Amino acid sequence: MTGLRQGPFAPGAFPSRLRSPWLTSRLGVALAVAFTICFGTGLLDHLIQHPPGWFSWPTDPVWLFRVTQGLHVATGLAIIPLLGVKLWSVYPKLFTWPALRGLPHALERLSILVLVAAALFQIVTGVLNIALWYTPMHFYFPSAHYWTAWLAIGAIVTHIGVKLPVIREGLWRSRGDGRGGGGGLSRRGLLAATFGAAGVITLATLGQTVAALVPVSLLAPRRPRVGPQELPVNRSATAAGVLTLAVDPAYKLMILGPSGSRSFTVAELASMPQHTESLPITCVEGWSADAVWTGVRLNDLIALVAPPGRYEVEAESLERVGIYRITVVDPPHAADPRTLVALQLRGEPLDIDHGYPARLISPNRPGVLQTKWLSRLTVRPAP
Amino acid sequence: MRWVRGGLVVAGLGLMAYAVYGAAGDPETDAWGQLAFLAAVVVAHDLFFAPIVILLGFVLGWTLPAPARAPVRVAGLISVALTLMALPFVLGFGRTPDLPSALPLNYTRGLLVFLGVVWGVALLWAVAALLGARWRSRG
Repeated sequence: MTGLRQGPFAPGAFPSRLRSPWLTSRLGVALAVAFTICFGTGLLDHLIQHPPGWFSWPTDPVWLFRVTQGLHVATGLAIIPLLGVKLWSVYPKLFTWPALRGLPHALERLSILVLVAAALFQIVTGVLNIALWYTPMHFYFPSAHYWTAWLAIGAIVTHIGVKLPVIREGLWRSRGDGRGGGGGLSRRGLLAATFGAAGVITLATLGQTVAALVPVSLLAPRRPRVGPQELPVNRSATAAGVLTLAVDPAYKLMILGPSGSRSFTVAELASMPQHTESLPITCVEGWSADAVWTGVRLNDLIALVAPPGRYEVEAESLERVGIYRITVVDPPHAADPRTLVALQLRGEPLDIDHGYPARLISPNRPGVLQTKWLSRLTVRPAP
Repeated sequence: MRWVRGGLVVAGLGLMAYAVYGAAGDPETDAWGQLAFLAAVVVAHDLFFAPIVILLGFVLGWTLPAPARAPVRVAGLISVALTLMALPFVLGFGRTPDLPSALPLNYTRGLLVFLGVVWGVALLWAVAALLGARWRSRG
């Protein structure tokens, strides 16, 4: 059999002494923390967009969702070097000989295959999504990313259970000063370089969320002040197919409720009491930007078609297709006086790409739920 | 310890089973497309990316003078990670004419600036290390 042990299967094929439980366990702890952050923040976004009965998302603090979602994307990007070096540190195990030593060993290797596949899947699809490059993904990204997150977190928990003795040895007993083949870099040095790489990636991209980093974030997918009216756009009027509908002079906003229905032209909406709120737009892709909106309070509109009470509002866009054509404003957001049917952005009528003639803007919500090109609001009692 | 390990393994298997069950019952996912992508990322990493990186590291260890190895390896690691992350932005296939605010920067330039700074620092470090080694060997 030894004659078959050629190339990477040969003993001593991977000479670097940097590989050790010391390095692998530390990278493993960092990855476990990072994946838990991504899983928690991602799950939160999922719950906000598809709220089950027991879940309620507050309107305060206004900045909470931009922090959790910014953290989700920033952590995911920082994982790239951690995962890369972690896999490098255990790569020789891929060529373990004999390849399978009975059923427990086979199951352990299978669980590692699932772990590696799910972890790489999450990072690669996440980066492709923020780069808006969907052609390589033959599936619906949000669903696939969501379910694979459960697969990844489950594989991580299993992996920790299987490897616990090695992890304990690596964290507390082995040494960090082993030098690589030919010297140069110590284990500590490599670990520091890996975290350094994560830091460089963060500096290069976090400007899409943290405005102070804009000058150094030369690789940020977005700039918070770049776009029509100095605000980025995620779905244009062209993509939504509303270029003519949105500027139709016959446009009216319909409002339906338990005690009647009303409709308003843009001029009628503009003649109602106007309120100005400073609320961020936060995209699930991690970027966010401050903006100042002016318009009619959703509360004031609800009062025209419903007696006082607790309501949710279904907001419908002029869009004919699209998964976010209809969204639901849950009771806390519908009742919040800062929730507006906005007509203006930074003192000017909304750009058509920002939802002219009227859009929803509400505190502490994902941007995809801030429905643009509003056509109809349906007020109904909260379930 | 044994109970903790057993508990973690069972809990993890439960979570993975939930993932498979959930994905199978979600009409919005394409199971085959997703499986193919899961397989593709493993093959791309294990059979192409990792061997190339390991081979490169090996060659660097052979050819570089000892004091320059650490700076070159550190700069190499940062460069590979940053380039992989930046590649979809540099290629820019996600750009559409109706959405100029998405991917608004020149990412090739941004990547080159970052790589320039990283390798500039690595060069200074390597020169200092080489001079230090020469000075020590004379002293």
